[in-house]
Amino acid sequence: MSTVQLIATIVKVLVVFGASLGSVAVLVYLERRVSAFMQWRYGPNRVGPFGLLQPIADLTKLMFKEDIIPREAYKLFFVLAPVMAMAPSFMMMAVVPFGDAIVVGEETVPLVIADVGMGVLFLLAIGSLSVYGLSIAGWSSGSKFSLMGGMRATAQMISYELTLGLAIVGVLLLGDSFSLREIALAQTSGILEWNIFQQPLGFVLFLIAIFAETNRLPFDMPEAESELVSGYHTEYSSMKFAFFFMGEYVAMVAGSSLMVVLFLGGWHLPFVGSLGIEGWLLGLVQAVSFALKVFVILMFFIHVRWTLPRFRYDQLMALGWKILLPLALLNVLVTAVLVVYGIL
Amino acid sequence: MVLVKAKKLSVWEKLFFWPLVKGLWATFSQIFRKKVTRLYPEERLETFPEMKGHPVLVRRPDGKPRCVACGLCEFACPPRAIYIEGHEIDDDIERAPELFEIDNTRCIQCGFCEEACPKEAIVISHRVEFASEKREDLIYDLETLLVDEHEVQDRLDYIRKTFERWKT
Repeated sequence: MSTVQLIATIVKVLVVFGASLGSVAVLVYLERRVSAFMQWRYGPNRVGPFGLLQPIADLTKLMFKEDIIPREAYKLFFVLAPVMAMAPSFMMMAVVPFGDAIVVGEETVPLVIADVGMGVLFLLAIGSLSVYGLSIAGWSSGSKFSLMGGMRATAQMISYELTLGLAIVGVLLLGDSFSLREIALAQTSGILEWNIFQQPLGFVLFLIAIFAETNRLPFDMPEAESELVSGYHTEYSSMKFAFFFMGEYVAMVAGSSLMVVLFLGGWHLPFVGSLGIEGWLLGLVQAVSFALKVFVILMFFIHVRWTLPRFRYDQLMALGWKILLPLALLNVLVTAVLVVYGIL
Repeated sequence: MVLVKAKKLSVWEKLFFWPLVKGLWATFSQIFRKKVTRLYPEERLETFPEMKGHPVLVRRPDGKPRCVACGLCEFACPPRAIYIEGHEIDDDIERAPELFEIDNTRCIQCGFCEEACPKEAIVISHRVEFASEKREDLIYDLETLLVDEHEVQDRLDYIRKTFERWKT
C-alpha cells in the first residue's frame, strides 16, 4: 500500500468514525425534538441555541453517573456486553461506500474504507453479531426483565434476518455482484435504475426487516419499556448504558446507509452529470448527497417511531414468518425468472 | 347478549397500507401546530386575585407593619408555620411584632391566617417562587415578609369582597 493510500485510509476512517458518532448526537437531538413537536411540545430547548448542545449535556450526565453493577450479575459478561453490542455497528460502517472515487496525485482513492468484494455478506454477518451483545447483556444482568429482553432480541433477530437477507438477494441478482460499490455503481445511470424502482417489493421487505433489525418501533420488543422496564439494558447505567444507546443509533445509521446503497442509488444524484463538476468537488457532492439520503431515511425512522404502536410478540413472529418470509421468497423467485429471461 | 362478528378483511385491507399513510400524516401534520407548552421562566401564568401564594405582611404608609401581634393567625395556622413574638411600642397601635417568622417548609398556603387577621395585616400574596437549596432560607422573617400595600391591593379588594357577606 502506498503512502497516499495509507493516509487516505486513515482520513477516511477518521471521517466515517466521526460522522457516525456525530450522527448519533444529531439523531438523539432530532429524535427528542421531532417527537416533542409531534406532541405539541418543544422538547429540549435550553442548552445552547435551540437546545443544540443537548447531546453534549446528555453525554456529560451519563459519564458522571454512578456505574452500578448488580450483585446478581455475571460481572465479566456484564461489562463485555455493551462493547459487543456497539462494536458491530461501527464495523458495519467500514464497508459502506459514500462516494465513487477521487484521484489523488496518480492514485485513485475509492470513497469507502474497505472495498470488500463480499461487502453485502460482511454487512449481514457483522450486523447479526450485535445480537450477541443484547442477549449476553440480558443473560448476565441476572434480572428477569433483561433476560426476556435478550431472548426477544434473539428470536426477533433470527426471524427478521432471513427476510433481510432474502430481500437483498433480488438486488444482488440485478447488480450481479456482492460488492456494495458495484451495486451502487450499477444504479448510477439514471433515477429509474435505482433499485427502489426495480425492486419495490424487495425495498418494502428490506425496510420492514431493517426496522426489526435495529430494534426500532414498531418492532422494539427487546426494549419494550411498557412491558419489560427497558429490556436488556434495564440493569445498565452510566457509560455502559450509553454504549448500548450509541450502538443502537449507529446501527440505525448503518442500516440506513445500507438501504441507501442497495436501494436508493447510493451516492448517485440524478442531475449531477449535467452540472459538469469533477474531481474533488464531485466526490464531495456525492458524499453530501449520500448523507442527505441517509438523513431522510433516518427521519423516516423517527417519524415511524412516534406514529406506530408496538407489535404484540406473537403478531411480530406471525408477520415475520408467515408473511414477510414467503413474500421475500416470492420476490427472489420472480426476480430470478425475470433476470434469466433477460427482462430486467 | 349481542354477538358482533368481526368484519372480514380483504387482502388490500389486510395490508393496512392506507391506515399506515393516514397515521403517518396524522403525526406529521401536528409538527407545525402551535405548542401547548408554556416556556416557564419567560412566560408566566397571569395572576388573579384568587391565586394563593405564600403569606406576606402588609406595611402601613409609614413603613411599620400593620400587624399588632395578636397571635390569631399563629393560632389559626393548621401546620403551625407561624411564630410571633410581640412587644409594645409607643405608637397609636401600641403593639407590633418583634419577631414574625413564617416557615415556608410548613406553610400549606391555605389562607387561614388571612381569614383570621382582624387588621388585614397578613395577606396571601401571588408569590409562588421560593425555591431554595437550604431549608433555613425558607424561614422568612419580618424583613422578607413585609410588602407595600399596593403590591397586594387586588388581593385586599378580593378578601374585602368575600368578607362582605358576613357583615350584618
